[in-house]
Amino acid sequence: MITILLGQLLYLSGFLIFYQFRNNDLKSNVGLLDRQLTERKDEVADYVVVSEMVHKISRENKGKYDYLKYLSYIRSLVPTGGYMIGADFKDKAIIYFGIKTDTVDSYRELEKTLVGLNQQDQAIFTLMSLNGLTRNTDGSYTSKLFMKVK
Amino acid sequence: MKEQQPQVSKHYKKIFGLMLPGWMNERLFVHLIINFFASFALVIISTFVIVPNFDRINTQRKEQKKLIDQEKKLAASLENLDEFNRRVSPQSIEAVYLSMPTKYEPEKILSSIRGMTGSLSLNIMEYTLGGGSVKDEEVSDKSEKKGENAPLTFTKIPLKITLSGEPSNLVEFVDRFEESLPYGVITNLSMSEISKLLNNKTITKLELEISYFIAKAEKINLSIKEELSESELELLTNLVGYSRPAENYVLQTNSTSNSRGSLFE
Repeated sequence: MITILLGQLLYLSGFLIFYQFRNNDLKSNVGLLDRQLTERKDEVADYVVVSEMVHKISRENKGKYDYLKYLSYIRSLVPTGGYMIGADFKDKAIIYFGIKTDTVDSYRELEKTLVGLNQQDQAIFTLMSLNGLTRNTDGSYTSKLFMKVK
Repeated sequence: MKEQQPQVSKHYKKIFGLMLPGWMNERLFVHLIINFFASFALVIISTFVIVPNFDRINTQRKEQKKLIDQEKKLAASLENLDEFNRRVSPQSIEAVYLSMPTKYEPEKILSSIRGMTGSLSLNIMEYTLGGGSVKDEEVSDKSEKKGENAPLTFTKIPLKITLSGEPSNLVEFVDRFEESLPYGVITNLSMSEISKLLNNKTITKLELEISYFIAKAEKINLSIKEELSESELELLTNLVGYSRPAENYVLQTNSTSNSRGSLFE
């Protein structure tokens, strides 16, 4: 019993002394580091502000809509002799755009591309609706369509 | 007179006032009793003195863990700070502050836009610049820190602008806008043909909705919690190359003595 009691006493005092020394050591280290940071508080403030701003910019960049990519993709759909008459990116999802072509042949070329769009793996849009061939007073043809970003 | 001794049978012994069988070893019994009381005393000491003090070890252990964490954080903060100073130039810091002003500075936004439209021969048909107003619209996304610990809060400054010009120049404007300061995000874009000129050139209208940001400093903690990733450090370097608004965009006027207009006719 005495052995157990002595063992307990030894364990208790040993650990208490160890933690006391170790914690005092750590406290002095923490105090030293804290003083070093306090002395450089202007630099720290700069770091915190700049890094928060960069985090924000980085997050915004990740969610950014790449309009140029989509515009150039739409442009690639326009047949020879035709041109884009408008594009409207609504809520970053549904895109309307209109394409004008000068001849029936080029219109048909466009129609074929658009109709086959949903089957293309590399297409970045899904065709939602196609407002087909409209003949304008100047003899040109207009096609309006709605697409959704894949 | 002879005192009368209590009559104890041969078969019994009286020890500590207890009647015990005669065959019992008196010495052994006394030892047993002493050991029993000594053990009892030791158990009492152990239960009420030593064991409760084991909690002190746990407290010290927890304190040590806390101190180690604190030490690690502070050391990491200093390390991050040194790394930041080594890798980020003062020009980058300046560019970041320019990308997200800490107060409403419409002149910088307008100067930046006018600089780009001027060089691309585009016309500004109309614009509305919000912000700096009655009620700030704080913006945050899921990954943003909220509450007391957030060192910065961001307020959105919306700009609606309509430009006209040649389609290729409008697309170039969108391209240049992506690398201009202050930092803005295009939230809506609409392009439509207005007219076709005699020389077969098309004039197109571009309507844009853009969000700029104001960063307001809240409570800045001395401990640096997050370090910058490689891509963010790269972004910091790239920001230096972004186009900037003209320095002296705002006209310096002596408002009282040389007023240039009148309020009423």
